[in-house]
Amino acid sequence: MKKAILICTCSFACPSMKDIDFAELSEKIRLEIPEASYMVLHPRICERNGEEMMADLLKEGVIYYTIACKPEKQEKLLRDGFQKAGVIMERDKNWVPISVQFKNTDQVFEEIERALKNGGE
Amino acid sequence: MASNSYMGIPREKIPWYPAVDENACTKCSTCLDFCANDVFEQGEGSVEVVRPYNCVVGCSSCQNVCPSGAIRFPDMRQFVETLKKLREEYRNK
Repeated sequence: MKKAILICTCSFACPSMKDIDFAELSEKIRLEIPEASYMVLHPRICERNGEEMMADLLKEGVIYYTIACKPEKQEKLLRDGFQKAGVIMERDKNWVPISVQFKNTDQVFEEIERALKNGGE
Repeated sequence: MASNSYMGIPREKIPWYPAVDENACTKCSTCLDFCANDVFEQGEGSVEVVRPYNCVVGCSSCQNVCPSGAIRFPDMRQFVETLKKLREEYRNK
């Protein structure tokens, strides 16, 4: 199954994400995680503009790794985007949430790397 | 990297944070659990906004999860205009 990474940067303004350099993180993912077919950086996936992107982008047959706030929060905030895309959101099947809160760039990168190398196909 | 400024404007100059209607608040703590940035604390009569400038500019997700509709944010259209003026003001500082 194809693997895609959706990164929500929370407008680069969330205090809980202050230790993450999103530019460095995305470039490391691009260069060092070939398992990811592609990656999208968005300032606020959970809001209207992000949901519209999800509606256009999401499809069956892809595992989406969402890099954002804590999983329980993501589940509430991203549900509408999946729904607009007509894709059923199933945790650990086509949707793998990864929290970036209170972590630094290296910690987040390692977690994403581990998830993509071990999870899914 | 996140800092205490947003688009070049000091965070404390940006009027974006929640307000809690103490008559509507049931003190259920949903917002406290939801917000990672410790914006809220449980007060005597209702939840209180104690660290307003920890609120992520433009984020109003807590409003959506409050079961009693007690949380309000500034009007987004007006806020965008305010932000434009602030950006202009701080552009050359």
